[in-house]
Amino acid sequence: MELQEDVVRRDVTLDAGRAAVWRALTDPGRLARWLAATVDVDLHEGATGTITDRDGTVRDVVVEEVLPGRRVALRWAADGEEPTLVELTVDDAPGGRTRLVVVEMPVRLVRAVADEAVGGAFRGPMLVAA
Amino acid sequence: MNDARAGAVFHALSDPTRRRVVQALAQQGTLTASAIAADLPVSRQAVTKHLAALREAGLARATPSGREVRYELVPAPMSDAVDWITRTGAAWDDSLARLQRSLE
Repeated sequence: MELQEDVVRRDVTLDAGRAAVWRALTDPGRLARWLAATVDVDLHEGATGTITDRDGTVRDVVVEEVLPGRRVALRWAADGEEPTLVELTVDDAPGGRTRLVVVEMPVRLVRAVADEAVGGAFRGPMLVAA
Repeated sequence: MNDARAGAVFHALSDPTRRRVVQALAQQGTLTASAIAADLPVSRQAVTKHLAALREAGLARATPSGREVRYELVPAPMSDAVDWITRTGAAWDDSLARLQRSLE
């Protein structure tokens, strides 16, 4: 896939076990410690809510996918802005650490990828961060 | 920064043929749809459609020239897309640093 250059991608190894990282990604109280000022959404598929950034920006959020222990996918948009898809994928890393891959891209781009992949082996809309 | 416009740019550039049209315009300056089609394995009609998508995203400009229309690139919106990537990436860097601290 040639589109990887058009997305924001971060690949970090965190100094914590996978279960602890997973809690930090899915517990609203813990999310509020790092992702935003307040997180008002339950992390289960189909849930909707809001995330308020430290600067006061409010984003509407839809939980697109929750694969326990593996991946959370959110769709969010601040008022009047382009909706984006955010995927947080965790994996074991050596030494009891945890790898976290973050991918964010405009939803419109995801649709374009899925359209291009119709008939192929790729199953849209998720762009899995290998 | 206009995120909607950045989204339109990403969408326009998500198609491989459109990227080749952009490349041709970048390399050769002003071109007609026929001239672009001559260098690509697609019809002039297909090129015209791709050019329309690029114009919609603000990436290309059309100028009538006699009986033809000549197209050229408008580079500014690309920097919007780059700006979005830079800004969003920096926000994630900050968030991920906070995440690491919150796990300690």
